[in-house]
Amino acid sequence: MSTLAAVYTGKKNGARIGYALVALLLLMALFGPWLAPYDATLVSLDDRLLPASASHWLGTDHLGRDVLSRLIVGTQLSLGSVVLVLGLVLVLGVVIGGIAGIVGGKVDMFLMRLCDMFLTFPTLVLAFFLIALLGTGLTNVIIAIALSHWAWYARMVRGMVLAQRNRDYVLASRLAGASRLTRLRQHVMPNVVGQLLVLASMDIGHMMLHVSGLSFLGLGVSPPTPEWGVMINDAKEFIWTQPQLLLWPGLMIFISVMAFNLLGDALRDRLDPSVLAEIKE
Amino acid sequence: MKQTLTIRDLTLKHRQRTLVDRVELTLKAGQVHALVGASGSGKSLTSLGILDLLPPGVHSSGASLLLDGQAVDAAQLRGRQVALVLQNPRSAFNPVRSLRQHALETLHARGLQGVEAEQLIQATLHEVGLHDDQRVLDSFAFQLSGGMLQRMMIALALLADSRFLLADEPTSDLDVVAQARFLDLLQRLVEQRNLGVLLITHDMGVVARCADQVSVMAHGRIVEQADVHQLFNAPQSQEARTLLAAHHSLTMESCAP
Amino acid sequence: MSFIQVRDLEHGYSAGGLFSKRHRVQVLSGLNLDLHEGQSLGLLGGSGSGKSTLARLLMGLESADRGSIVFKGQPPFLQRVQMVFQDALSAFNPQRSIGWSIAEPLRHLSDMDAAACRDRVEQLLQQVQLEARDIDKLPAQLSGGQLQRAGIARAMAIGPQLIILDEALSNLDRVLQVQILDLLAQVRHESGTGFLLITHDLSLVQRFCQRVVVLAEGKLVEDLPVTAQMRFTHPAARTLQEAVLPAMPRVRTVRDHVDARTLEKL
Repeated sequence: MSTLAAVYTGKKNGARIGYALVALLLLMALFGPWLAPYDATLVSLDDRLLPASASHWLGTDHLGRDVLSRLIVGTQLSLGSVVLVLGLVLVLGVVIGGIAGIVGGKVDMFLMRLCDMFLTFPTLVLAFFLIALLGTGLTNVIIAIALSHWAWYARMVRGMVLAQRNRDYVLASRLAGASRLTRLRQHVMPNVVGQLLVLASMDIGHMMLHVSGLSFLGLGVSPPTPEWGVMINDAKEFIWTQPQLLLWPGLMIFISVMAFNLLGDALRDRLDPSVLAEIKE
Repeated sequence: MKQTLTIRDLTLKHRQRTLVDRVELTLKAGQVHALVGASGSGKSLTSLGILDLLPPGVHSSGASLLLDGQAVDAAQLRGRQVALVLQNPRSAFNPVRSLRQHALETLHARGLQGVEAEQLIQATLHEVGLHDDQRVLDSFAFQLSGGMLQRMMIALALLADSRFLLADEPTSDLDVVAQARFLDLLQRLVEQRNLGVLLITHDMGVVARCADQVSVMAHGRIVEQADVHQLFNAPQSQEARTLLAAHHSLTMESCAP
Repeated sequence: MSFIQVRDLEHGYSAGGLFSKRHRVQVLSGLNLDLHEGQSLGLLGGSGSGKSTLARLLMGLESADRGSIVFKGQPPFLQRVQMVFQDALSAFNPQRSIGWSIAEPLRHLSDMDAAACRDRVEQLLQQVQLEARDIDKLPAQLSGGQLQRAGIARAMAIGPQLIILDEALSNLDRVLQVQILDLLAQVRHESGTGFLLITHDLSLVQRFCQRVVVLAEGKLVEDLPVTAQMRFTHPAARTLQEAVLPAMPRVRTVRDHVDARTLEKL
């Protein structure tokens, strides 16, 4: 029925906004220092807490640094750390979940109990514990967040692998004489990874909040370096007098989370066969 | 007693494309009106259009509904005068509520509760051939077969005291035995309860089995409207001839009693 | 000459668990069947009779609890026997093109090179009346009827001697069913392929098959050559026969008291 196609085209606008915002964020992350009007770490005590003006579009912070420049330059760390976290989580999740689902038996049992151990603790508590072990700093925050999230992904991947293995097209491939390895490579894994990317893109926002949250607590990026969580942390003392200092980095986090969620929706529509099937008719 | 339900000038559009074009249908109490056509001819959309349950993006324009000649609103009819039976019964039930809750909810809308409601539910389940009524009522949709769920759909329609039934491919997901029993039931209710039925199908065998009037649909338009005997003996439209040719090539040399 | 011999086949599943007591459901018990080369056999049974289980056992997708399935043809088995699934959409990898999927048996079961595979796929598409440009389409871009033709093309690709159709026509409308049966009859005529048509609908069997067996209560209760006058005797089989929809409408005023035979004249 072409009616569902209508729903789809309506959604396309959301997808376009998502793509555009993500592209903009990437641009800021890659070329931040060149795009920023000022040096993001330049302290100028004479220009403290200036309101927005033609020379400082978003004003300055308590050390006289240009807020807009700090936002733009901060994109790289805020986004980059999330991409690293996600990369680590995906690799761990696919490898461990994939092995559990494919090999099965005792290996599956062992790996899943390992996952359960990690899933037992609230992610934030686990992250704190790992940071306490590893020490503070951005690298350790990334490792800690990745380690506290991989188990969830591993379980998802395992479930997807098990579900895929019994799909008709995998059986059809078996009847076509494809070996176990070929079936995994050509049918099971591509479809698992497709679904996983959709989930991951929706999870980016969540991870970003984690990284910023830990930076806000002073565990990740240390103060002079521009990063959105750090900026919020810096601004918290001026929450009553200069609330816009909290607002701008908060807004950036909000926009990024939204952008990646829209991107995730769009990816899902592209990759999910059930949605595709409905659009077709 | 309501005797006729008339749909006039039902046009459904999505953007600029016309999906259903000026469809006119009249359902009479005590009769089965079959709406046939190939997949994609707009027959399912028509049934949704009658009750104004259209998918997003599809707009109805200019349609009017007449119940015994009186103009009525689709929202007034839905679930009361007119009930809908869908192809996939499993999706029509709330998976976490028992069938008893569904039945009670339907009666609640009519203001019936307590012992009276229980008795009516029991009698209605027997009427649609669900004799193991307590077990059925305690079940959830996923625990019952497709045939039983379709009977339950009918039972809910009867509980709502609907006079008209719109059935969209009600037997396409059932095997032939369950289909035959369902059609038997439908026919019995049409005769005993004087129900008016719009039966949407692509199977001329179903039409031959229980329809009185037939409308043939193609590309969103009704291309032929005739008495069932007239249609089978002298089809006028190309669409009807195609459907009948396929039907006859499967049944003519058959040895069905 | 028997091609596949099934002897004393038994199979069951464990059911229940969360909501009811776990118990064993016996699906097949003591089933015997001989499939002959080049024959079109109809396997008729209601829903839940174990038809699809039998298909999966025959194809080796599951192994039976007890009994034997002996393949008497020239091995390897998969080059001789192929299957078409009921739900065409789920039988194709959503990320791969139709042509890729149809060529799958050729890649694994033959030693054709890429160019030869493509030629064969184009030939198959033509044979099942799909268009040459469909080769690069994704499953979601085809209609149900088109996809089922592609499923048949995939099963035919390697040139098997037997194709099992597991309710492969059930989701299609009558016009499409007839078109596909005609297509299969042509394939049978041209290449001598045998078919096992698994269905609940006797009218399909009567149109297409030479012999029919009926599955009920876990075993075969009927085994007859298909003729216009054939009558089943087993109650379950009779139910399936009587459920076939009429060819012509009945006279309405005397709906319940008319002998069907007098109506044939109308």
